[in-house]
Amino acid sequence: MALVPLTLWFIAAVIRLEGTTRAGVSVWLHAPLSMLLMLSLVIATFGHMALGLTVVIEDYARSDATGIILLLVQRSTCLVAAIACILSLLRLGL
Amino acid sequence: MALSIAHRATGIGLSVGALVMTGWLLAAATSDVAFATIQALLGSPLGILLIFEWTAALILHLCLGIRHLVWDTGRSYGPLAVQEPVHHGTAARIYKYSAWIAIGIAAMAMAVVASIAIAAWRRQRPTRMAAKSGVPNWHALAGQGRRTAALPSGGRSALPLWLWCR
Repeated sequence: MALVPLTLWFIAAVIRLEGTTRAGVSVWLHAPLSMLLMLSLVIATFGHMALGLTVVIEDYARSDATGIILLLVQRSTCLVAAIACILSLLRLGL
Repeated sequence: MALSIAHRATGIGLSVGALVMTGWLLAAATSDVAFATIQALLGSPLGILLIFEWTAALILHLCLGIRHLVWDTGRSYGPLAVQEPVHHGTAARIYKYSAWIAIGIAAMAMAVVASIAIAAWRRQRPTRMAAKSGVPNWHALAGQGRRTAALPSGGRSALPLWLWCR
């Protein structure tokens, strides 16, 4: 549910950042509010994504084996992507 | 039913979008060259089309998600809904109305976001053209015609008119 305001804020932020330079992104992330909201957005988004894709895979996987493999791939992708996002944010904004 | 599938489809599409966002953040954290490359890729006609679709998918997914939240409060499964037949009872009506309300709000929100994005793009275009990088400028290659086609006659002053004509 926190994703509703976070997502709307993120759309506005992306529009504002449109066509910016790398330094511009860094300046934007140096603001504590941007950093806090971006971190919240990343964590909430990837958590939501993992839950949603889990339901989809459970519904459509033909056998248990493919289901488990797909779930493992999906979970690890979500986790690695989330960590990559968080590290990038910290590197840019700290 | 159809919207339930749309919710799933947009959800899967947005997962890909989340990975692209990851790539963008990684590039921004890596180097100037990497960032310029991904900005050029996302600024290419195909990139802009994908971003447009992801934004539309995001807004539709958000509206349908709110619809699910409203259902979860039990509003469409009250005593009235249970007593009446499924296909022409209160539950069916709420189901149908909520679908159209969600689609309507999503369409309006997308129109607003698209207008704001186009206005911001027009405003920042000169500075972007000036920013030189080692990567080919896709906007220049794509030609000038698109800019005038996107928003007819004049700059921000025409925006409300353009919105109204939509």
